[in-house]
Amino acid sequence: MRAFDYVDATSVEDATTFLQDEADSALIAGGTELLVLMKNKVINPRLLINVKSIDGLHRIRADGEGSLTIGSVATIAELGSDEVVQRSFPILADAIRVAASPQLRNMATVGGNLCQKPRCWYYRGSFDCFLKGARGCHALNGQNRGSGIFGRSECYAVNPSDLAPPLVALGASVVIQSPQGRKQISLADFFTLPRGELLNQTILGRDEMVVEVRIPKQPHRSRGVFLKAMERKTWSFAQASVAMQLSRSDDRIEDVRIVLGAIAPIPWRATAAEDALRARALTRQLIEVASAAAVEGAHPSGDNRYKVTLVRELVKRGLSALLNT
Amino acid sequence: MKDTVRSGVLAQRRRRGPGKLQLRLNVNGETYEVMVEPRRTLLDVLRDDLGLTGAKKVCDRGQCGACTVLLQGVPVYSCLKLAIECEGKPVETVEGLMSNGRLHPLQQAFIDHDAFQCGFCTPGILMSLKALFDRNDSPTEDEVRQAVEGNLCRCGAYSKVLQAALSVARANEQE
Repeated sequence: MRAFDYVDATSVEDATTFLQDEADSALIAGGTELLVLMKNKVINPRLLINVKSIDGLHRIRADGEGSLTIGSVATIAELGSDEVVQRSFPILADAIRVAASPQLRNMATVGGNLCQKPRCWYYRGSFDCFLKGARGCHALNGQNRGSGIFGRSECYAVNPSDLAPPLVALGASVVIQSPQGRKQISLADFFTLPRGELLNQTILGRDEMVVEVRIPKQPHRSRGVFLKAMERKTWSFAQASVAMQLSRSDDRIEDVRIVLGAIAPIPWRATAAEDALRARALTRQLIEVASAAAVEGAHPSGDNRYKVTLVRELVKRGLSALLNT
Repeated sequence: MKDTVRSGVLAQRRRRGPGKLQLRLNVNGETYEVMVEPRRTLLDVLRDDLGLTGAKKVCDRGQCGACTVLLQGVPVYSCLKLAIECEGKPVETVEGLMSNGRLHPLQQAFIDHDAFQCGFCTPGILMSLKALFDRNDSPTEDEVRQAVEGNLCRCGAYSKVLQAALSVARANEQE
């Protein structure tokens, strides 16, 4: 790691002002992502701004009416052991149970998880790539076992977050703050395909910081499933994952969100599958239709073809688990 | 506006580094004063400045678990913690497991069950298990497995580790 200055932020305003004043700075929360990138000299900030020191920013608050507000430096372990998460948002608890390792869950934060960089080894290694300001994507015709099958853009790296798919499926939003003020946007809109000048998978600006994640109350009789395919049983990034949340009225599906993870540069809504399900009763036949629809338009580029099968199968298994609930 | 400018100057003074600065660390109940740069990890400071070489430096990227220590009672990878982040927070390493000249029951069980070959992962695994047993002294097999999910053993001593940990759990149950 190159040498840097370090400061404990006293407030969100303090942290974002430091971000604004020092162009070559980065926020540090869990550090599990940042310090690896710094050790590999992918990024070399001159100032680290510690945001764990900000009073109250790790708090997880239930409002008593079914919604939850999560401070961005709450650790993933803290979120996973939260009673409201376990009771009201089980797909999030399930995703956390298979995310990373106990040590990483004790360190890594919710905000940091949503801002993590892709695992693409061209990006993490000593290659110039689109995300580092060069042209083109080496993964297109190179090592692309882990690359995306949806959301073709100028970069093929997938978003690795285990938390993002369930949070998007639950309709979560994020609160972002900069020295210019605060705004709340849907988490789905927080993620974006890297292109043009935007060398990132999120819209987060240079002097902006994720402050909170909010999960709204779910509809009555809402049920969900989270499934993650991994190369080994534990402590592994997803090869593909699916988070789905649906609610029914008189057995007809009303609200439905199916979000795929690790197969596109953003958490990917399987909208064709959702459309196939909406206003219908869930049957084995419909599950076949919906799981086939989930991979419509997939464009594998070589060694990542297995992800098409994985996605179809994960969606099928997820919906099957909801069949008799 | 003037206030903002002035507070900005004060804020800049709070920056520490990039050179060495004095830190007070609390490791295994003892206070240590060290002079280190902000970029030094807890792992490097433990090993190189304090001579506590129990926590091992293997991948140095949070992918193996050999550097596991307890920070405020919970297992973390010390290769991904800056020493400066640990000021004033209790750190526990494998060197602190013994008390009054006696091995920790987990350490003794590792010996009795031959729960290691090369031993490089052992200090990290012991600390993960110590954190588990501190909050639940008779864990189930699943709980033990989950507790050591973040520690790799390339010799493959996992089943002996499991036996050792469960023997301590059973002994605690009978007390």
